[in-house]
Amino acid sequence: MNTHPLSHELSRRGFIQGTAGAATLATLMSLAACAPAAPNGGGAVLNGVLPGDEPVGWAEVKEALNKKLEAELGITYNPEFIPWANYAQNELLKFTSGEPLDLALEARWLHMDQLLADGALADLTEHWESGRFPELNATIDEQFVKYSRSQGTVRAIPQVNAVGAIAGFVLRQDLVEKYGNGEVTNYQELEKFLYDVKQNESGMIPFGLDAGYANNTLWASPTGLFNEESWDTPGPVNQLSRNLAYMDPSGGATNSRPRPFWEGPGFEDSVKRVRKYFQDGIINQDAITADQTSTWGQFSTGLYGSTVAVNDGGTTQRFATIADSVPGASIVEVMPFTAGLDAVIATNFVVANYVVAPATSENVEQVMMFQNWLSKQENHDLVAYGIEGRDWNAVGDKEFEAISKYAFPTFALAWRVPLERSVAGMIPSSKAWFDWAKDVSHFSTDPFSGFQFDQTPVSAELAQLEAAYTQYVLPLAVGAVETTKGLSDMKSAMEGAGLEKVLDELKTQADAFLAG
Amino acid sequence: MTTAPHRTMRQRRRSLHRDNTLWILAIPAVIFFFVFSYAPLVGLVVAFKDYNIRDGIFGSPWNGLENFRFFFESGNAGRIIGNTIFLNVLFITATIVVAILMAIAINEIRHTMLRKFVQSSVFLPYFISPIVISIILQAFLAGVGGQGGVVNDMLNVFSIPSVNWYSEPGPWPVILTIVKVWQLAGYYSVIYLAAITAIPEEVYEAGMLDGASRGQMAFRITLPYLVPVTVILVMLSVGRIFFGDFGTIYAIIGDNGVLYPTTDVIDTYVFRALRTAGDFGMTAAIGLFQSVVGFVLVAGAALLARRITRETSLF
Amino acid sequence: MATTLPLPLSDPRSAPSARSRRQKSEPFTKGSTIIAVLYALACIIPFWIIISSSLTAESTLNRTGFSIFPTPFSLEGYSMIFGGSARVINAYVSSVAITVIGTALALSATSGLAWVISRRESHWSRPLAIMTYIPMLLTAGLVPFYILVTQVLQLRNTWWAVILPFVVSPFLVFVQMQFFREIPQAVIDSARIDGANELRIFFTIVLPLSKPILAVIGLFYAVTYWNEWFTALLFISDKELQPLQQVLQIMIANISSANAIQPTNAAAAPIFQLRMALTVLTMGPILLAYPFVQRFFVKGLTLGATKG
Repeated sequence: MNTHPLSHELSRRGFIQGTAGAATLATLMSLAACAPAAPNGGGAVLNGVLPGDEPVGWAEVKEALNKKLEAELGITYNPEFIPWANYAQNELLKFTSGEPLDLALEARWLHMDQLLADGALADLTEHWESGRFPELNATIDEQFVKYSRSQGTVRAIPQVNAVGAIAGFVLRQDLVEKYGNGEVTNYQELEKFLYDVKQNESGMIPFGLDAGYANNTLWASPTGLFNEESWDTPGPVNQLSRNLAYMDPSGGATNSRPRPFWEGPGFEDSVKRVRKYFQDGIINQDAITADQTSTWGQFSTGLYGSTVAVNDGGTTQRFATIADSVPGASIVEVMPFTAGLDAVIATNFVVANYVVAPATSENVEQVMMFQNWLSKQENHDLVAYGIEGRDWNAVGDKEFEAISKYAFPTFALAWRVPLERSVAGMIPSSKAWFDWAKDVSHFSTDPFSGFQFDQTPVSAELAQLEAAYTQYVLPLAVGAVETTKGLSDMKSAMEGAGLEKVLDELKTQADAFLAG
Repeated sequence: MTTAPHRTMRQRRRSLHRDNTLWILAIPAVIFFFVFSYAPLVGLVVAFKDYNIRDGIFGSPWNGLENFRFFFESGNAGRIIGNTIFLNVLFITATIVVAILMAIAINEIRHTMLRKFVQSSVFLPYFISPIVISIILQAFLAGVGGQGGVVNDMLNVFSIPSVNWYSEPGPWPVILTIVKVWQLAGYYSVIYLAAITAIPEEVYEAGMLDGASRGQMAFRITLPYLVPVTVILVMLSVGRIFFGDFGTIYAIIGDNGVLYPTTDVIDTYVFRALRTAGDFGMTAAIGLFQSVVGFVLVAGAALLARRITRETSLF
Repeated sequence: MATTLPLPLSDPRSAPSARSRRQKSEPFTKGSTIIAVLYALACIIPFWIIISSSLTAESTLNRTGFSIFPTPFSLEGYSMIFGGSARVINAYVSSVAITVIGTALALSATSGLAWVISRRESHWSRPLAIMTYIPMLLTAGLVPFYILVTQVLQLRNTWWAVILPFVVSPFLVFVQMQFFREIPQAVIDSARIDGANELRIFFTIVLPLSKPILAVIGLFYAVTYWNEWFTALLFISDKELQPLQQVLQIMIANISSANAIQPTNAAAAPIFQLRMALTVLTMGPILLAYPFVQRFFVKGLTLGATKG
């Protein structure tokens, strides 16, 4: 499979403020009746699934983890690692077949909507509101929980390390200095950089695009990579999967106006712009079949002059090897905002990653205890970074340096904004943008925060739209087809697939949401 | 391969008597089919249900033919079904023809080592996973960045302009067929070679005595002996003609929408449409549709084959 | 393909006529040989590219996508796969176990069934043929299969979860059936006259006569089992039991994702090179098995068996 499950969602991570809505299950069984000072898990074994492969050195970390857990809470954690390529399928099969499972990573881009609609997730409302889990409440901002509530109940615990993350650019800083005035702060300067590279650096393609981030080139939600208008004025949050519905704000506070996505700000201009880049050789012509890791790797070996970066603090590590492969190369992270670090964007606080408990689990109280336990700095660090001294060293309170190759998918279990340590030695631009992402003042609340669209009345249409999207929209997003015909084919395909009907249904539900 | 011409009463009774132990040999396979193929079929009801994870297969509510809607109302159903059939016919025809030709050609090789080399080589492509095939194909047709590739370089040598292969839907049925032949003809040729091994020597001796050349013997003698195997292979493929070759096609075409008009098949369409929704009911519904059509076609083909020759019919 | 003709599978010195024929090599033979060799090369060249790419450093490889000569030379892909733990060795053991056991079971079940179906005079023949064919067209899908293996049969984390679902392939049953039909009825009848029962006929007469097709079917099953990873990925999470293909798929998938998701990983892994090395490693053992199996494609199916 070409598209990594996360790749098109990393764009949405921008607005993923995630509501830590782990509704506390009101299982007032005798287990929970212990005195709040010393909760007892009763020897429960929590079966969990995690994506990826076992980290190097996991055995010792797991042993240390369970030893502590056993002593302090009487719980044991038993995770199964499932390779990324199969995580979505295998995890859903476990839910479906009723296997003993207590906690799992879930998300909008996995199956959360379906699980919620089927009532397959445990109700955590009582747990969350009870006050029995103070550290958990303290380290997850209430707003994330509030906006993920499903019909008022908390069904998932948000895992966040920042308020939002945007897809932007990583550029070759040495080339920016060579051809420009040393920095790229607006769209015109970006375009100038791209064309300068094309003209002067033979053999280098100015921008490397992959299939996943093709979903980010055009939409102003809030910004599109090549959507010039959105750099100046970030757009509202789009609804529906694949951002098919542009929520036109001109309707006012009580009247939603869902319009087809091509009516969004700057969309059609961006289509023409991307087509020009394709024809001029500014972007690679195999974007639709390119995968993210290979593209990033090719940037690091000097084939591309720039590629996509996300401001989640990972840029430095991802492209660290470039200095070895290309002498004299340096990198800079640039986010698509003319306003720079003062930019403010709308977000609906939707989180990219949640921890959920199946409704069939018998250990929901223990799951909450475990999540609470992980919300303490030293426990969090043990799981996230490994054994101190062997896998990592602390650098101050907020940073760390990695010694071994231990790498845990913390976003699947224990991301907490106040507890996260950033890697020491981040490049300044990346650190600046990561800090930006953690600051709530940079995010305004979208009017549809907390709104969840129920797909069941239009699931057949959505399936057709999904197929039509891949066939007609993606080629436009990478510039592979001629624009006039491409746009008109796309519009008729979308309309033929039932977009009108879906937008009408969306309007009905959205208006009800605004009224309620 | 003829039945015994004349049996005595005693022989007939004896062979009927022997029948009673023959079926024991089939027992392991029968158990297998019951457990792994037939028992799970109860799950097919989900094609007519609005599948809910909590309610499971049997608790979910019925929704009639609703699960079939997304496919048949899309307006693309005709083209997709057409592609599926067309590509399958191309694949099976080309693969079998090349396999037969290769088997005959390999059979002609005299030098032992060379023959072993060739036989081993043609079987190799079968092992290469579709993803690797896709990578190699990209290297041939597009290069890195999408603007180059071995084929384009060769075209340029003859002053023919480069073609952006991954943006042109037209040639792809042929390209895919070449890939399938490369992948499978060797595999099938092994079957055909084993069939050639089974041809009685007397037949060739007779041919040589009549002064036939090797070429004539290959086509007049060998070929007819390969017909039964071919009929079996074709019949087995007929039932699956509505099932697209998802593994190979998806690995190569992926999400490249520009190529869908000529390469999108039922399985890839359904996969794309349902991959975010994960609706088992819809997936099962289309699978059921493919199976039913396959049955109808096979029944038709079996009747047809029965008319042509009793000997080679499957049932 | 008579033994008297100078063909490599048999002793070319067996008859005087053979020698004289060998001198006069016909154009058809020459032409066929050339075509066959060219086709073989066309099959080999991509394979060569894969091996060469697996030994080429990632820095070049991810710029060009592939390489015809391994320069700059690099063993990094292989060292990443083998280094660090015995995991890959364990995986080879698992794969061999699954393949050997699976092929043995499959051959037995398939041959038995194919033989019964091939005996058209038996009134079991037609019902069994239909029973075998239906699963080629009709499956219940992933979810019932998953529930069957995990809940009903309780086979999670065992090799049986990978072996049993493929024990009988309808396609191969029919191929083998077709070959069984070639066995002259006279041979069977003469055995019956001698008083052998059906089981004895099968084991002492049919099977020895069918070595070529048994070799072929066995090879096909072996390949299927050796390459199977999807079922393993569904059911085997215990690292000690994971077969080779699964382990390698995991490595590729996770290294790709790990680079993207977990910024604590330092150097970018050689993805392109790893994929190529993966292919080479998984193909290797099966390729060794194939020439060995070729020995069985010998003439002599019905020499002297027919009486009367």
